[in-house]
Amino acid sequence: MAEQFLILRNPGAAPLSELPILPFDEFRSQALAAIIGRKARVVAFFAYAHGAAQRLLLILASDQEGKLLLSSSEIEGAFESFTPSSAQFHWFEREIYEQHGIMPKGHPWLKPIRFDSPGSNADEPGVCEYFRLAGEAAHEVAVGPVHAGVIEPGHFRFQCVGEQVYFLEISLGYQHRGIEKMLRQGPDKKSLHLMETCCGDSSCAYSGAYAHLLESLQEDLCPTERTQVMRMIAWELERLANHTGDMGALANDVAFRPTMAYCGRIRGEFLNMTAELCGNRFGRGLIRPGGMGYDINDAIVAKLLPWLQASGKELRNALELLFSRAGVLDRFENTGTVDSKTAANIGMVGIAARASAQKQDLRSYHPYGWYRENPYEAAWAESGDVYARALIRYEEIKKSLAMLEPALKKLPPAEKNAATPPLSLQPKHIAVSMTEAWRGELCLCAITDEQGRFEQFKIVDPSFHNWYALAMALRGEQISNFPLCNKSFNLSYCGHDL
Amino acid sequence: MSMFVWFCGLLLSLLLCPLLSGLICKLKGIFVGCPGPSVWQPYYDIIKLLRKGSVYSQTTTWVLPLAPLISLAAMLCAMLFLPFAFVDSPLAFEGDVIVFFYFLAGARVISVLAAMDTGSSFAGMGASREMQFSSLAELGMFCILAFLVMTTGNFSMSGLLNGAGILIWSYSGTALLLVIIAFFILLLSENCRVPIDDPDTHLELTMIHEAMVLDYGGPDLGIIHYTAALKLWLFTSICSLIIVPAGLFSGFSGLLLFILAQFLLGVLVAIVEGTAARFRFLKVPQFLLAVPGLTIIAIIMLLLFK
Amino acid sequence: MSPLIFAILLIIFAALLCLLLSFNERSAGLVVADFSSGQLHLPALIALAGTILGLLAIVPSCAIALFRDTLPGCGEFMRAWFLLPIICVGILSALHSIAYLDKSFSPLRRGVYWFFFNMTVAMMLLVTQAEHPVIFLLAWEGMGLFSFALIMFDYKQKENMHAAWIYFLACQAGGALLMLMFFAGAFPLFVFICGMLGFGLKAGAPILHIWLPGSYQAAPAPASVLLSAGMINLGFLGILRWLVLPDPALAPLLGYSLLICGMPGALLGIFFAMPQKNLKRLLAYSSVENMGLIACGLGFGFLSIHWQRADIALLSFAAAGLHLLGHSLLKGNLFLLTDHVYRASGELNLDKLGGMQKILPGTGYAYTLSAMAISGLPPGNIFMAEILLYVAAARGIASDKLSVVAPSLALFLTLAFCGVLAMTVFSKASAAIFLGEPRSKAARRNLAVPPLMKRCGIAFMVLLLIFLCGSPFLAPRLMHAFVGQYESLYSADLGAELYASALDARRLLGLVLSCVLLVGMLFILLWRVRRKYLPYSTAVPPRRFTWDCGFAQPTARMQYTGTAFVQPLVELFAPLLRPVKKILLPRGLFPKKASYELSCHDGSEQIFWRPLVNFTVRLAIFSHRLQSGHLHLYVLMLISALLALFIWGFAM
Repeated sequence: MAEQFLILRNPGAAPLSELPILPFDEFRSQALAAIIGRKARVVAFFAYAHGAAQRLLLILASDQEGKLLLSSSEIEGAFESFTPSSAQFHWFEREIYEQHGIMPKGHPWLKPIRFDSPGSNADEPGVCEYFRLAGEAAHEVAVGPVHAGVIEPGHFRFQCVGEQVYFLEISLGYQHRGIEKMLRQGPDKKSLHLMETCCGDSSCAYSGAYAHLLESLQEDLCPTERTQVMRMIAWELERLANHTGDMGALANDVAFRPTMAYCGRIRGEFLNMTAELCGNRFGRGLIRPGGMGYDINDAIVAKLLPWLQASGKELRNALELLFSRAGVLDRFENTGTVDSKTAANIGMVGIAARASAQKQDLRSYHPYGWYRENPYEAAWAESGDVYARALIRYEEIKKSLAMLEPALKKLPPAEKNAATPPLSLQPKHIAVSMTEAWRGELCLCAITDEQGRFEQFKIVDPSFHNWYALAMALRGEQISNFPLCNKSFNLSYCGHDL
Repeated sequence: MSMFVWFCGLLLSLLLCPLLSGLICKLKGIFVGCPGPSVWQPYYDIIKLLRKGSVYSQTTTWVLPLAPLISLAAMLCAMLFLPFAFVDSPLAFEGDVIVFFYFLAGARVISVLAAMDTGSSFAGMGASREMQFSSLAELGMFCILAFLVMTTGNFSMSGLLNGAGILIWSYSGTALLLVIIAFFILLLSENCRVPIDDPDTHLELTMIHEAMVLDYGGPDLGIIHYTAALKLWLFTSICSLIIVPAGLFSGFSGLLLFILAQFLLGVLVAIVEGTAARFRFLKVPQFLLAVPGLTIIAIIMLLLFK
Repeated sequence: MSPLIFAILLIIFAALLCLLLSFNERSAGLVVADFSSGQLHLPALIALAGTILGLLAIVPSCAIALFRDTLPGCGEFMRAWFLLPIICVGILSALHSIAYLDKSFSPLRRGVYWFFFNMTVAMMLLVTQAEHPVIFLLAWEGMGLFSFALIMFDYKQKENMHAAWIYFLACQAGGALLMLMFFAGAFPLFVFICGMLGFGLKAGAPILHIWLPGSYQAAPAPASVLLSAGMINLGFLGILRWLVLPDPALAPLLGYSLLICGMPGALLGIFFAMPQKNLKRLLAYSSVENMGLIACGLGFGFLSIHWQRADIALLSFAAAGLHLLGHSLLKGNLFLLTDHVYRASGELNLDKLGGMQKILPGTGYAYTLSAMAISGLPPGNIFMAEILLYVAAARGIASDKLSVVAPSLALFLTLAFCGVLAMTVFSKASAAIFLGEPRSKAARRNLAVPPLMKRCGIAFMVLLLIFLCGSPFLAPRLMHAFVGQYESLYSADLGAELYASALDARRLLGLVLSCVLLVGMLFILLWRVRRKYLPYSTAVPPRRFTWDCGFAQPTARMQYTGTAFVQPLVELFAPLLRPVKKILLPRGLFPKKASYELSCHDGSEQIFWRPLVNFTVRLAIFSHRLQSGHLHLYVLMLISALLALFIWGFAM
């Protein structure tokens, strides 16, 4: 039996008619075979109502071939769960069950993820049955949804005896806003803003992915070379700011003040550089479908270059200080380890995956935009602990700095570009666009209707893949190490909750 | 006259102890390159808290509201035995050392009970850690006391601390140095300082002392803050009294030196806090067991060279 | 007839009468008094009256012995000192027994209980008084047997029977050793070892304490009180009365052995108390600790006599004496209060209790205070004893001689470490029982606790307060008594030393009491200020939930359990404690179940007794092989034995 996949490159679009609709058994066996044989990963798996029928759409990514594999199936009310065979589906199937009431039969952990199912309105986030460590000595530590710092809400339930954690269960959904629903019938004026606020610290990655999505759905929306470079600058600045902030937070969690204070300030520098480009510290309004919201003039370049160099140097100093402290390394090493097998099993993405020996980075294996012409070599580490995750960040900071400086120096000249054409998307198409946000792989998928409007819009935030990894990292860990582990993943609550 | 100086020392200690905490915060700020809060911040905080109202949990019983007062009362009584400004306490008697440290222990136990009283897992966590680390610290503390008894032949706070004077520096300075290092470790541990605890952290799961008092607010919390500041002052006082040989300074110059010594030790604490990372909790016992280790080496040195 | 003989006879008579009446159904069911929480039957009344009248009858003579000012009465004083806890604890546990033996027990069982209870008390009195070895041995054996019967009172539970049998074996072994001690007078060292082991068995010396936790746990609460507060002390009485007096030259040996047994005993006791989940078992291990500390005090005293440091010796003896009394009363009280908790909840497992302060407020106050006192915190009776011992040890440390410094230092550190660990153990216990939220349905049950039981608790607290305030006066008297007893061991004139030390002790304890008073006054002052000038936002402070991070459904599982509270320390000392953990780890990504169970078997059982038993069994199996039934083998053995004898004969 030949494989029946719709094959796309990132970003890519195809007529909906090319998408194979398979009988479920075939759909299932083919998907599992691809995951095992071609080492493909689950990028997105979701259900949507197509007329009266319910359709499952699966997007796999094969990193070695740089291809996206799409297939779909029509089902009625229930299907045989993939999770027992491949845990990568675990969270997606819970989402499908919650959103559509479609039962993944045999799912071992069918609990709500956002506490918003169509049937009941009274779902209160966090209220569900939790796994229990039996025995009279065992107790629970419940943290959240309100946390001590100014951070997002989420509920963490530890099963402990004293300092020892035996199990962690994470319950999210407090920030659920229904963005995917709001995006349907788009694109309209709100769409770009909604995209930029899916996950506030990854605005540029989101708006970039969205721009790519639309550009693949409308042929005359074609970004110029200068646009490509400027987008890269926005993404890498965003990555720098967040990585820097995370390194500071990691230093703070081990009470290493010097690096904490420096990183806290330097993060601000990178944010301010972004603000220099577009007036917003998080890069809102900078990237637009078909082009850029703001152009860079020579004065800005002249200001940014020395600024970037100086901040980069300070940052390197602060991080070298951090990595040269035995006390810090002792805290980082062998803390919150996720081994590579588990990482592959649950389909982790992004820095956390790269820290657990997963060679995956969309910039290298599914290159898009500027990275197509400028190959990028992904950083990765093997130990899977907090140290590895910190190290990946440090490496990526160095790489980003190395990319930004020459790009700023040799910015392609501004072309007299025509005004961006009005949006008119190809009807009855399916498009997928992925960018490597600073946390990891961000996937947008849209299906257009006859009028070229979004019939379905699916967002898969990198955090969606990784929350379960954090829970795994805490098994058998000391509870006092949780904040450090949590920071080393630094997953998004709102990106997950949407 | 000397009585008056001692009394001044006592009074100044009561008044200035929050300033020491403030100074440490300020210096920590400067260390990491920011201005840091005002040195008077602890006073503002305490005054602010004293003017607020209190809320108690339904779970709590008599322990929670009484604990801060009992702790403070015990601490106040204990500090009467300290030889402030190098002047022997007028209340000194043989064995007051035990009263001093057992009152401190009593204050700790009542605050641990208060933490357990809330039925909160965070407070329980803090209480459990407090008991673990303080039991190891206590062993070290009594080793140091034994060393001081051995050198001074005296068993009152005044005799021990004022006696450990120029004589020991002259004939067993190395041993005394080891003991001072050991005591400084204790000072950090008993006062919840980096690298054992982090007084500034906002993460409940990594706290010790702060986790225990999570359910307090208002005047009670103000009193707890003050008690903590007082405890730090008492420990730096003991440290400075061990270091500085008594008899070199008397009267008001002694008083001046005494106050100055506290702030110098505060600077030292700030340096440690500004430059060291925290240990993971599993490593803290090893660090704390260094205290009896160092002290026993000092005692052996003393026995060999006496 | 001395009051004591009268008391013993009275108590025995009451016991017999009670037993006799219990067999008759009519007289056994005769209700004499009917009070809110139960009924008092005729046999019980007789037994109770016998015990109480008997014990009260001793009080005057005891008081005279305690307050007589002349030295020759010191033997009397020692006896009175050991009688004191028996009297207090005997009366209160007898009263508690009335409430304990409620309707659920048949009249016959009640009668049997009272019989053994009274007989145990009588035998304990006899042990303190016996002047002749044979009488002493008989009393000792009787005490063991009758208390054995008390321990197996609740014979339906298998582990109770197991514990009772171990206790029985320990008693018999102890009796045999003492018999050897008395009748093998020719070898002083042998006598000494037998005596130490025999009395050590009763006093819960390390390794020999194997019977102790189990039997305290098994015995009915009032009987546990009797055992822990009255009987265990008698081991020391034996050592002081029978082991030292015959041979003064043994004093230094005795000192070293007591110290060497006492220090590890104290440490092991408190270490093993830490992970215990059963309340009574925890208290039992704490008894091992306290006995260790008393042994330390005595041992240090004897050593100091040997060093010719009367000042240290006197302080240590006074410390040991005060510790003994304080421990008896506190432990008795704690056992009775534990019974309140058991009454109210039917649960003795710390990890299933919680929040009992609201159900049993009085018990909560009393337990917390007693727990703090027994862990050596001021102002407790134990603190009064410990400070004396600290001062004694400090004086030893300040000495010039290494031979004095080393034991003093060891004692000093042991005291400190035991103290702080005891604080951990008892803050765990009182927090896990009384504070927080109930961890199980049992803790929420709120069954009625008979008022009589509560009154016994109050009486205990009053007694504790009296002895606490009396300690500055009692300490010098203890010193007098010891001087009288052991004057012969000391070469110089003791009069002046005694005077100075007595003054020291009195002054020290008086000052400690005034410090405590000062703290109390400061506290009241602060409280006044707090109430008056730092007002709550409303008249009644508002009540909310404990901070739960804003979660919608907090549960009682979200609080530390007792085991969790000490988990870090238990892990730290795991090589010593060897906790047995039965953990089912959550396996795989989606585990079905996981569980955690921790238990700590007795260290001496694991390290010493079990290997010993195994070795004996193996030896028996091995020797069994020799008995093969082949005649030629036996002949061979016979010949080889003869040959060996020949060679030995030649060699001689």
